[in-house]
Amino acid sequence: MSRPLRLGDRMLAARMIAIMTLLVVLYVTALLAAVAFLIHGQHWGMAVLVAILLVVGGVTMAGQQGGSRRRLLAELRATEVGPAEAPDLHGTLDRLCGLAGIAKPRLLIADTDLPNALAIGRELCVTRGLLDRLTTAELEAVLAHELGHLAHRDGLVLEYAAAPGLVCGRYLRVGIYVLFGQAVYWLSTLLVRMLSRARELSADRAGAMLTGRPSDLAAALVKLSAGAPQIPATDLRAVQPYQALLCIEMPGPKPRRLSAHPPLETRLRRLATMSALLGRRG
Amino acid sequence: MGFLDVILGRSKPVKPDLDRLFALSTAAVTLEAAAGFTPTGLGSVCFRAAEGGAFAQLEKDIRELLDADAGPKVEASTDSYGYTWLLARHDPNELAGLVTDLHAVNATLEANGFGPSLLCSLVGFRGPQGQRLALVYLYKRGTFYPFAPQPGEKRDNALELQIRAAVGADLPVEADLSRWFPVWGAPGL
Repeated sequence: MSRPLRLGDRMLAARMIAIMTLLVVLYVTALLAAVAFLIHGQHWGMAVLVAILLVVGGVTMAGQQGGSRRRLLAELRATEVGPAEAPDLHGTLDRLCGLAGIAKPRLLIADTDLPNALAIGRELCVTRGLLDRLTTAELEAVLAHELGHLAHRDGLVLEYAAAPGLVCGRYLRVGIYVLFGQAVYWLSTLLVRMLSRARELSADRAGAMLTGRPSDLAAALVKLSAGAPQIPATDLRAVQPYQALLCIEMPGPKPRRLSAHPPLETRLRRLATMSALLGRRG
Repeated sequence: MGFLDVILGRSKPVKPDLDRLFALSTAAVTLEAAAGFTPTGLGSVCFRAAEGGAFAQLEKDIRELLDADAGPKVEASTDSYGYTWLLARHDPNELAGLVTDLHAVNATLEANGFGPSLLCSLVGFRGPQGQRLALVYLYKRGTFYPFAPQPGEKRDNALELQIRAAVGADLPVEADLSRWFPVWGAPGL
């Protein structure tokens, strides 16, 4: 029995475990350091308060982020489309969900010319610009990539990974704690973006495996990266926190370490490897 | 998807149970007795052809395998979504032979590591008033659902629900109605 494509990628999984371990170490260290510092100064009440704030705040912030998805889709002017309005798109999505054996997400179309796709919660949003630019096969590849994000629950994972760091950055703003809070915030941001890039590669892999056509996804990525308008992304600025769930990075100057997406060449190289594996006989 | 799969961001292949396809023979008997629907002798398998030489060779092998016996050859076609359909024809009274063919296609693709490419298999039926009906087998779920198209891309939902009630004891019917996706114009309908 031959297996043309391994479904998992051990290196990628190992990378994710390493990043997530570092995040946990960072957060636990931050928590212990804050509490130890306060106990040392005999601020008992304050110590308990900080501990509660960091733990409870982290959890509720992750929850709040989930709640803001709806607002985001509203800002994108994304409206749900039924099978009657977009029969081809729904047909493609039906088949992909059938192939993946997953429940079909709600399908929304955002009325903007910027080509992109976004998957959050149980919703999959594509832009008019995407529909106008891609061929049927390329569009299918992008939808499959987004279904990968949904299946891996990347939105949820990244929200929880980022939440404690956000709490530190936002609420530890008193006296000397500012420095501490900001340090934790920036370190966690770097780690979360690393995690985001790894999960992006994972979604690429899942999507390419789903259609069995990595080259279609590669073609779509090239087209979208080259064709992304360089005009300021005013109407998609709202998406900034959700960069990781988009198909391609929104335009804008950004250092590589802070990017939520791996460089195009990395993604293309990995897809090419998968394509070569598929071509091998026996 | 288990917790670990979510944490590691990986997709797990579904473990399908292809033997469920053989339950179609029993279901066909029930279907004729309960609703007067008879098999048309047509059946098809739908998959997303992967790129590359390995899959192309495999597809060729499968067609040769099915054409080895006497009788009409399998017909391959590609639909507007880019999916490949292999249509097998048998004598309407020989449903078991048709199901064996469909099973062979599914099993060969699966054994060669292309299980993820399989979408569905279907068997066609005709009603007493000439209504068209297909029992669709979802590979990834291991479940069946009825699909009854009407002219103008409409579905006869009442008939589909009636058929579900009729064959429910013989076949594992897909419980989630949102997965009963339409296969308009599928070969073998």
